[in-house]
Order: sequence, then structure tokens, then C-alpha cells
Amino acid sequence: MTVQTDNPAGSATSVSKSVEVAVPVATAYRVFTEQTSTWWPAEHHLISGPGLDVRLEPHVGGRITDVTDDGQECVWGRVTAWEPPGLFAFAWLIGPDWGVPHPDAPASQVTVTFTPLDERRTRVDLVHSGLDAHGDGWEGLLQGVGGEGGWGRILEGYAAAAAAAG
Amino acid sequence: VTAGTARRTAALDALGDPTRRSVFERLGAGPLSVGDLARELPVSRPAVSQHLKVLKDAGLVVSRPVGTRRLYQLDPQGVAAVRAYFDRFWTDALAAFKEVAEQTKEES
Repeated sequence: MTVQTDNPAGSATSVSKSVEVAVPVATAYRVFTEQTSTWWPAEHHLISGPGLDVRLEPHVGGRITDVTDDGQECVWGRVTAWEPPGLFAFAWLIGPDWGVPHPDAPASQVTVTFTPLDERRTRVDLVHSGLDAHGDGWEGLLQGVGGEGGWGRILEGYAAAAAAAG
Repeated sequence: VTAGTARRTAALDALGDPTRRSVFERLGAGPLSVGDLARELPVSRPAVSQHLKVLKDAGLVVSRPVGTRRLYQLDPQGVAAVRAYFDRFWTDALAAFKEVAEQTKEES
């Protein structure tokens, strides 16, 4: 499997994932933080419209915003650590319905560390913690993502693409 | 030890068993009966019932009667369900990240 779960049982309120990428650490950091919209699962943007992009202000306190060419904006994260090329962290404001977050919405934390394995390979470790901030109202979401158009479909699509890429 | 801590520990213990993890993951896709689960997994109906009892006691799963059947589902109020959700989300997101990163030209 490409993406490793460090500890399948894990903490009850956090998720830990690791992935190894065959690029230098600076590239890994840049793609993760500056080119987010190129890899972010398309079904999980907060708004839709032409030219959808993820804009990140590269400093502590900076906003992470979905933007479109027709002027929509939705802030869904706030940078809490900006230390390229080794560390990036942000507060995750999105609620269970993937709706537009309230400014005072309770946040969980995503911490991403980039460790060079050699000049051309990098390990990316991601921890999403404090998930108890999003405690209520998940029933509909889970049923939605478990259905025909949900996660199973997304993962199948990825598996097919990965297999085709060899 | 607070009640919350005890419950978290119970949840971790419950998910430490591979068969129970399988039951839990299948319920992540929607409510199922004991019979549904027994058909999908290489375990007997009594064994499925026992695993479900442990998951219920740990606060991960709830059940409700539907007609003559009883359906089991992840506890919608439970953080375990949130966690399972993000577990899947990040697995997919990081796999896609890896693909894109490795197609990107290296910085000079």
C-alpha cells in the first residue's frame, strides 16, 4: 500500500499517515503547500466554480482559502507553523458537512513534517489531531461517503490511475 | 482515570483485534446486520455478535431495530467515526499528493 498508517489503532482523536515520495524535500514541501489544488480530492472543496484554486498565505497566521475566478472565497484553514522545507502545520476549520466554516468553528490540527531520506526521496508524515473538535453530526456524512459516489469510488479511481501509471 | 479516558482505552483495545477492525471498517460504509457482516467476513454469526458487543461497549457502534432486523452502525456521536472518516480522507489525499509530487519537475 502506498500510504502507510503508522498505528492502525492509533489515538482515538488523531490520525497518523506517512507517505514516501521520490522528490527532494523542497519539492515535496512546495507541492504540498503551494500546489494543493493539484492533488486535493476534488469532492472535498468547499465551493465550486471556474478556476477553483487553494490559496495559502505562507506565514504563521496566514489563511488557507478556496478561491474561484468568479470571486468566491472561503477560508478553511489557518497556518500555525511555516518552516520550509521541514514543517508545515495548520488549523482545520471544516465541519462535518464540508460546509463553509463559521469563523469561531472548533478546529482540529494538521501537522506535516518533511524528512529527506536522501537527495531525491522524502518521507512525509501527517498527523491530524484533536478530531474530537468535530464530534457531532457525522451520521449523514458517513452515510454519504459510504455510498456509491463516496470514498469507495474515489479509492477505486485512484487504484486504477496508480495501476495504469505502473 | 476519567470516564472519557477509560472509553478511549476501550476503543483502542476494541480496534486492536483485526476482525473487529474489519467489522468496524465495513460499518463505515453504512449500517449492516449481523447476517450481512457474517456473509462478508470469514467468521460465524455468533462470533460477529460477540465482536459487535465489544464495539458497542467501547462506544464505537450503536444498533437500532429496523423491521425484524437489527442494524449496526458507527456511533454518529462518537469521535471514532470522525477518525475513521479522516483516516480515509488522508489516505486518499496523500496518495494523490504523491502522484502529483513525483510528476513535478525538481527545483533547480
